[in-house]
Amino acid sequence: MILVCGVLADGMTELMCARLEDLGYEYLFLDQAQFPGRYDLSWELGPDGLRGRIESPGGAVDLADLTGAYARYVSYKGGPERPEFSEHEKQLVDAEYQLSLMQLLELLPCTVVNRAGASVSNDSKVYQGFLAQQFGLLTPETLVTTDPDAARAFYEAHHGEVIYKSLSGVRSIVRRLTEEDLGERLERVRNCPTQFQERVEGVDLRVHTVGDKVFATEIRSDAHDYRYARREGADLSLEETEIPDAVAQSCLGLARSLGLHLSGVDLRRTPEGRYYCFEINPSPGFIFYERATGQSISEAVAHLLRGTPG
Amino acid sequence: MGAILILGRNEDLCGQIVAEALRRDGRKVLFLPEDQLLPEMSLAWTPADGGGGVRFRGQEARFAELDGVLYRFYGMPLPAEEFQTQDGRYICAEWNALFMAWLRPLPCPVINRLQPDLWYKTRLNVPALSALMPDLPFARPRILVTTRAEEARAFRRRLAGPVTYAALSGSAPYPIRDEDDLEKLTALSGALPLHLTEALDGRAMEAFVVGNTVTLVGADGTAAGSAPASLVDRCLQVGTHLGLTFFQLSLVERAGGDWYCLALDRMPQLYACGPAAREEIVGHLVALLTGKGGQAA
Repeated sequence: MILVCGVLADGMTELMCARLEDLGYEYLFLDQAQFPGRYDLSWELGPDGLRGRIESPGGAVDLADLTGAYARYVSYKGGPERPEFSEHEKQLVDAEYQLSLMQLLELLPCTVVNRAGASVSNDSKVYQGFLAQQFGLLTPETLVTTDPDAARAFYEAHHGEVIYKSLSGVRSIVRRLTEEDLGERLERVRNCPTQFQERVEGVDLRVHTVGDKVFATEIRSDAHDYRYARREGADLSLEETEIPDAVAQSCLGLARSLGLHLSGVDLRRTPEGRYYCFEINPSPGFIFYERATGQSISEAVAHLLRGTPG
Repeated sequence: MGAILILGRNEDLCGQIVAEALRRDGRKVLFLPEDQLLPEMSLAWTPADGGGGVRFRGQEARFAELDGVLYRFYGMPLPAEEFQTQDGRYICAEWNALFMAWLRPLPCPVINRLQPDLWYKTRLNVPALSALMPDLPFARPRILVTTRAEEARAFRRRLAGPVTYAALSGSAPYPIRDEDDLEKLTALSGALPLHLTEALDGRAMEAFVVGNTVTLVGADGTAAGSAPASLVDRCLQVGTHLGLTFFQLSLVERAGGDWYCLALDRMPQLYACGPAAREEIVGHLVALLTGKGGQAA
């Protein structure tokens, strides 16, 4: 039995349910939009380990029968409306229900794609950069600062070939630093540390790791941040590609070191054939890549959750 | 001699008395108050070589010249009302991202250099601790988490004794002594998941672990004498596994000498410690920060 936690409005959750259905793998979908309410959860931790069950409109599942769990940590707003609660009380209640599920996922002995604890490193991209270096991947020269003068000096030192972006997991659009930014606008960094990086020329690659499998996609785009290419009216094409075995092993090693059964590693290959790593995503929206390339990523995840070789 | 950097809050007693002790020792201390950093603090850091430094209210330190860091950052460098805004949450996320990365390669002692799964967990209850350390070298009380009132009743019946309720996101335990208490609690089961813990009788102790030392503090705040070697060894195993240099374990010694662990706090507070216990703990912290004591991660 496989557990899928998420909401159907999330394309990844929908895709995984459809893939499990397609493969005939038995699964329970815990719709977080209906939890609490339509689902009940009971788990006990004692000298014999973890035991318990999830009850759904379709029946109960014993935790011991789970071979895998796929979880999407979507913004949580489940359960019935509670007009008697203040906003603050609602937040506390939501946090309690979310924790009841997340702590269970952390404790489950089966494969969990992915545990929240394994995903936290994504909240510091520079931290992830250190990990990537340990596995032989390059990272761009970086300055983190609240000092506008330091940012200007970095810009000069890199001959104006500099981008800036967030440090944390909060999504930001990667932008190129321009001469116009160096004036008053740059003073804003005093209020928030900002990450500046040398601009690395090359082709973007998204490498998905699923257990021991690697799926590499080459992305061609004129945009600085291909995720927003269409919004910016830039070209975008995705194609399945091969990467050197050493790079594939680096990505797998990086994912394993973080306890990630599924990951999306953002790389860039320079014209000289060097590989830079920007980020390892613990909850990748691979639907975008799977649809464009036909790679069987969701199938590999399904096999992993079922505990069967793909 | 370089500076010792303390990152934390003005009202944090631990940070205050460590800073005082270091200054008495003739050390230069740069204290960065978490909630007053913006926009006065100027920081520049190049991760590739660890270069850069920090300036704040006329004080300055180069990162390469730091002798030690006491990190007691709560993750909110803004007033609470600003944290509720989108910009406020973004700023907090960016500061956390910076500090978590910046601490990692520092060559000096850092208390605590956190691994990612502890970034947002200050106090770990039994389920959180069990997930991070399945082979925890302590016995643990039985735990139930349920959305069903009848499961809570059955749990209490099975244990045939008192239990406590605590919010999963909180730490204060509420005793559930009898059926009446339980019925009041289960009335909440439609609104909250119930997190019940077996209540343990025995001697409650707080173990403050600093490097290779363990200071046992009783419920009245007094230092409770030397910790047995086997207990020290188990506490140090926890520190090694979680990469922590300074932490607090809430323990109960039961009849027969079994030690149970109820929680771990990676940001120990010294408010409940008496003067002798405080002095001992702070002495160990100062020794670590100045390179005179055990090991800091």
